[in-house]
Amino acid sequence: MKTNFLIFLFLSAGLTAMGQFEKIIQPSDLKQKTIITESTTLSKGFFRAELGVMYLVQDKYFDSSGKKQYYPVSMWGSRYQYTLGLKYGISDRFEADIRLPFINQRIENYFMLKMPVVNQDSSFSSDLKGTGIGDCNLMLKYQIIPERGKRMTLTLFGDVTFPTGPKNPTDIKSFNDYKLPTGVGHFSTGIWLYARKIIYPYSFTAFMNYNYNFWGSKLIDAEATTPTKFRKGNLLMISGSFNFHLNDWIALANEIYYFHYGKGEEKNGSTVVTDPNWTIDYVPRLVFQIRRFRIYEIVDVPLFGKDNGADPAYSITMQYTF
Amino acid sequence: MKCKILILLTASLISFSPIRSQTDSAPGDKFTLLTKPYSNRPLNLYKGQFQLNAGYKFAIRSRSYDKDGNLIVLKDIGTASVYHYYLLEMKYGVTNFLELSAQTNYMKRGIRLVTENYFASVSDAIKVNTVNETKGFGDVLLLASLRLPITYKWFDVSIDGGAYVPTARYQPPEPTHKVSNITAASAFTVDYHFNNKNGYGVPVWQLSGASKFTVSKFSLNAEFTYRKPFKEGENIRWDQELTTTKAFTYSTEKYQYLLNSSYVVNASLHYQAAGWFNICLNSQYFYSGGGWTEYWGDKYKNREESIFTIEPAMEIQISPAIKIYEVAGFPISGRNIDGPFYVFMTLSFNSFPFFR
Repeated sequence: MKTNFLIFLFLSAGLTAMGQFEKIIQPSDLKQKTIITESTTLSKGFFRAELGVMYLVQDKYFDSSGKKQYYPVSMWGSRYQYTLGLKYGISDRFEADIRLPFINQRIENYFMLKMPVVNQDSSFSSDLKGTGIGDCNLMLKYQIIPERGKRMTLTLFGDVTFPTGPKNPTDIKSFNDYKLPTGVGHFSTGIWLYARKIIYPYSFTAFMNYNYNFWGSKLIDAEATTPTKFRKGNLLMISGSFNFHLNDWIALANEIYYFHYGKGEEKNGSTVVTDPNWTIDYVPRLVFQIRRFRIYEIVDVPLFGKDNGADPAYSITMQYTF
Repeated sequence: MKCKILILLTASLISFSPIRSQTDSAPGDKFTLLTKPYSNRPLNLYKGQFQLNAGYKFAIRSRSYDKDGNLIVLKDIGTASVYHYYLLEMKYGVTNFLELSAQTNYMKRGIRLVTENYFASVSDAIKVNTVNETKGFGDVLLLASLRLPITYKWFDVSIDGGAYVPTARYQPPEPTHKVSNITAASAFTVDYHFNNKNGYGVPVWQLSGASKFTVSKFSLNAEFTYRKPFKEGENIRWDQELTTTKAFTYSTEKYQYLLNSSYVVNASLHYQAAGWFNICLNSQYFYSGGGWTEYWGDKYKNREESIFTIEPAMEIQISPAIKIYEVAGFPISGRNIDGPFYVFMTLSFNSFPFFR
């Protein structure tokens, strides 16, 4: 009987022994983490490339009373922005990003001129295009409070935007026949504070960004003969998000942004002041993760605002982590 | 003794391979039904299945077709615009062969006309902008759908019938025209802004038929839908007058109308690339005509409209309860109609609320 009991005990021991194993995290597992679970900066030596396209039209705007209005004149503007992003993990807490935009924009205008006195009708149209490189951006990210267990992480971002895109209209043949600039024409720098907490399968984020715009000078329009000194209003951006997994490989992010653009100035003989303006946007992101490959579908919907554009922007971005 | 040891050994070894071997779901359970790929699903919902669909369509109205089918690029004349359309639909499978559904929509768009400048002199110059805005909920469509009383294997047929109930507002509210940039008594800008609603104003019945064939991973789906108004309707039209104080006064005028009858033919080829992923190419033909609208006491025939569109689409099963449908529409040809490019995304939630 004793022998039987010992044999049973010996064989049963295997059952509990199976529960004891060490979890080994492979680099390939880290590269397959989703937007919910991945670290706020890339791990050391990881390289990520992304290619995105954003599409925006000019159809509506927020007026000074905050009401959404249609642009009344017969005019159509559209803008495609293609962005190549390269990200590298310098250490487990320090990441460098470069963004290289390429812009293809178009503004079409058309109107009829009716002169009943001389019994003549005529139409005027312009098709302004601008294609070229935009303003490149360099961003550095550092995890002040790094990811450990369920603790909240805090990351500091710093970025600089360089005026690499052409800032002046080119090929000017007349006031309605020239090439649109694809650059803004000034340096800017920003600082970001980004906090995140993961309660799997959910994550919550909050961040604040302040962007300072330096003075620049450019030809404000095609008829200008001398450059105008200008400084765009500084940007304050505050955001919060609630993100969750729909399944193991699809995540939905829900972000709310507040953008506030401060007072701007233009100096060319006289000084023109542009008023502050703001918007509150809702940005849902549907993110498909297929191993190291990721596809984002993003819509930026302006909900409220003042003296600003009110058109949604649509983006698709593909990412791959090497 | 040997026998006892053998029994004990067997008992111990069995404990290594526990209940895990029981993984297959029964063929008719909730999980299996909710995760059935498109190629294995019938045209209707299963008994007790509830489906909630929420969709968003973004269309760019940059092209139009004239009465001869010639393409007009609206971007070139500055009158392109966008269109936002939201869909909410609920379906319930009463039996495996009878489904009831209700749907409504919300849409908003603003169509600009060409800006006109009337010029006689600097002090006699008037600029006229016109925007026709349409915004609001659509009517509620109630439908019942019957399919063949057989288990779906490779062939299915269904018939739907129902009506749009005129629940939505259809009478246009007062226009919101304004005058601005007044530099002289006869030098200013007029912004005409007409406001329209989205409802039909009369009940419209709908009858459809659909069929589906599946061979291996490929499925062929064909649908025909016909809509016709029950009766003539009455609506109001706004008229405006600009006063010397540069303000508008408005008046209304009643008019009769008969909506166009319309039909839609869809034919689609689906490929079940994986259990969770289906891609499809749909072709759609839409025709509408036969209606009229009253102007100044006379009835004028509505324009006949038609458009042929190609729609690549995909269905992704995210979880047993959630699916995503994404459709892109490319207009190919048409007559008397706008030909927008559009993207339509629908999130579909499915469950069996009354089954355990």
